[in-house]
Amino acid sequence: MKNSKIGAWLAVILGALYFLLPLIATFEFSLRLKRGEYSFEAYKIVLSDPDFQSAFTYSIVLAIVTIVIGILIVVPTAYWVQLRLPKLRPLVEFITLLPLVIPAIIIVFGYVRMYNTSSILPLTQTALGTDALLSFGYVALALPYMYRAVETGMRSIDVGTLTEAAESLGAKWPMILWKVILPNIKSAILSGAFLTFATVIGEFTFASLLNRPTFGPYLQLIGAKRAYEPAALAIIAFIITWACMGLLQVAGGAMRSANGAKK
Amino acid sequence: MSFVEIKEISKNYGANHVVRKVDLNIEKGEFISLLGPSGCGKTTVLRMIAGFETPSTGSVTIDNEDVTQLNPAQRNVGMVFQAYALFPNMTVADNVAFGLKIAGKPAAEIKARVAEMLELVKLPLVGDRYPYQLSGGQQQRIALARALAISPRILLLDEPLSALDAKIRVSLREEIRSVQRKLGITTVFVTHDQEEALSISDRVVVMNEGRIEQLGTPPEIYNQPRTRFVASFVGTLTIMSAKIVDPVARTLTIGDQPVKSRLSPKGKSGDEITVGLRPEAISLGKARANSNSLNANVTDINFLGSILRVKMRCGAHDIALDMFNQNMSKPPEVGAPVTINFDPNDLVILDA
Ligand SMILES: Nc1ncnc2c1ncn2[C@@H]1O[C@H](COP(=O)(O)OP(=O)(O)O)[C@@H](O)[C@H]1O
Ligand SMILES: [Mg+2]
Repeated sequence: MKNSKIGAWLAVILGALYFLLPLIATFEFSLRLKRGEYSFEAYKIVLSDPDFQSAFTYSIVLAIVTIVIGILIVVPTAYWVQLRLPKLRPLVEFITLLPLVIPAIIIVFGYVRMYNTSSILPLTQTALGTDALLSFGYVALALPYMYRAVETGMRSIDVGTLTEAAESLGAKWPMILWKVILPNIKSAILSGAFLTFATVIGEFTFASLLNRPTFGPYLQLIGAKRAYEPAALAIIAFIITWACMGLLQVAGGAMRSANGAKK
Repeated sequence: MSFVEIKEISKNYGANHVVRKVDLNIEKGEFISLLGPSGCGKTTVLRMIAGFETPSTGSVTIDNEDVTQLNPAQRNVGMVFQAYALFPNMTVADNVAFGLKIAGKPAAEIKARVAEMLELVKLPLVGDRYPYQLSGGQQQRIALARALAISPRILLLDEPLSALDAKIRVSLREEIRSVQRKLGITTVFVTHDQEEALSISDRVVVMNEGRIEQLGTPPEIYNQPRTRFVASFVGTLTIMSAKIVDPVARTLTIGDQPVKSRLSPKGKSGDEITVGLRPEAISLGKARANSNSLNANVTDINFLGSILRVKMRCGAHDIALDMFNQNMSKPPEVGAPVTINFDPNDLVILDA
C-alpha cells in the first residue's frame, strides 16, 4: 500500500516535470536578454513591437467575429436538432467532429482552390474577402468545441417543454430562442466561446497559407529571427490560453451551481 | 354547438395508431378529465387540442372556430405540464408576465395582472423569486398562474400533479378545481389516477388504446361502468360470469345460485354474460327482502386500516367484500361458510 502510494506520487511528479520543465526553462530563458541579470526586457520589446500589437489585435477581432458567427450557426442548429430532428443527432455530431479528423492544411488547400481569384466566388481576391474566408475557416475549426458546449447546455434544460410552454403563451420561435433558450444556455455558450478564442489565437496553418497577419504567423516570424523574444511570446501566449481556461472554469462552475440549485 | 368540438380525431405515427376516432364535445366552463393507463393516448389528444400535434384525420373546433390547422401560439389556450416548465432564467413575476409581454400589453396592466394571478394561486409574495427557489407544488401553482394570465379560452393540464407528493397532490387538485370554478374556465385535465379524475371532474373520459371507452359523470363512471376495462380501471371490481334465466324478469344465475339485476341484461335466456360487483356493495349476513344472496367460503382477510377486505370463493369465482373495521364486530374466520348479500342495483352488467 505504501509502495503504491509512492508509485502514484512518482507518476504525478514525473508528469508535472514533463509539462513544467520546458515551461520553466522557456520562462527562465526569456528573462536572460540582458547579459548577467534577469529582466523582463524581452517582454518589453515584444509588447512594444507595433507588429505584435497589430497581429494580436487582428487575432482578437478575428476570434470575436468567429465566435459571433459560430454562435449564430450553432445555437439554432443545435436547438432545431434537439427539438425536431433528434434522429439526426448522431449525424450532426459526426459532422461537427470532422474538423478534428481532417488536417487543417487539407481544409485550407480546399478553400484556396474553391475561392481563388479565378473561381465563381473569388474571396481571396481582396483582403476583406480573405479575412471572411479565414473566419469561416475558424468557425469550422472551432465547431467541435462550440457545438459540444452548446449541445450539453441544451440537454441540461428541457428544451422541448420550455419551447412548448412559450409557444402556448403566444411566442414565435425567434422570440423563444432569444428570450427562453439563449439565457438558459449562456454559460455553455460562454465556454464554447472561450475554447473558440483559444483556438483562433493559437492557429497557424490557415493564417499562414491564406497569408493573413495573425498572431500565429507573427510568432513564427519572430521565432525565426530572434532568440529571447520568442520565448517571451510563448509565455505570453501561454498565459492568455490559461486565462481563457480559467474563465471557462468559472463559467462552468456558475453553470453547475445554477443546475445544482435547480434540484 | 358545444364550446369545444372534437370530431373524429385520429393520430398515427407510421403504422402506430395512437388515437383512433375520438369524438368529444366540451361545454363552456366544464371540467373534463381524460383518464386512462399510461400510453393510451391521453397526452396526444390534449396536444392536438393545444396544437402541438396535428390530427391525422378529424378536426378541432373552439368557440365556433376551426383551429385544426392553427399553431399553438394562435389558439389562445393555456397549458400546464407535468414538469412545470417554468423559465429558469426568469423570476416568478416575469414567468407570469411572459405571455402578456408577448401580447404587447402595457406595463401597468401587466403588473396588475401578475399580482392578480399570484393572488389567485395564493402565492402573492414570491414574485421576485426564481423558480428553483420554490417547492414543486409552488412551481406548479406558478405554472398555473402563467397559463391563466393570458386569459386563455381553454385550460389544458397534462398530469400536473404526478410529480408531487401525495399530500400536496390532493390539496393542489382541490385548489385547481376551485380556481377553475372561480374563473369558469373550460378545462381539460389529463391523469392516470382514477381518484383524481373522479374527485374533481364534471365529466370523465375513460380512454383505452386510443379510444374512448366511456364518457360520463364521476358517479356514472364508477357505478355504471359499461365495459370490463372501465370497471377494472376505476376502483376494484369482482368480475364474474353469469347466465341469463329470463331477460324480462331480469333474473340470472351465478354458479347455480339465482340473482336479480336492476337493468335488463342484453341477450336471451341461457346466454353467458359478464357481471361485476364492487367490494363495498357487498355485505355479510342473511339476505334482506329484495336483495341478492350468495353462499361462499372465506379464503383470506386483509387488514387495510379502517377497512377489512374479506376474500371469498363462491363457486368458480373469487369475490372480495369490504367491511368497516369496528372493534365490536368480529370478522369471519378463514374457511368459514358465509352468506353475502347485495342490492340488485349494485350488480353491474358489462357490455364486454
Ligand atoms: N412523437 C411520437 N412518435 C411516435 N409515437 C408516439 C409519439 N408520441 C406518442 N407516441 C406513442 O403514442 C402512444 C400514446 O402516447 P401518449 O398520448 O403520450 O399516452 P399517455 O399520455 O396516455 O400516456 C404511446 O404508445 C407513445 O409511445
Ligand atoms: Mg401522458
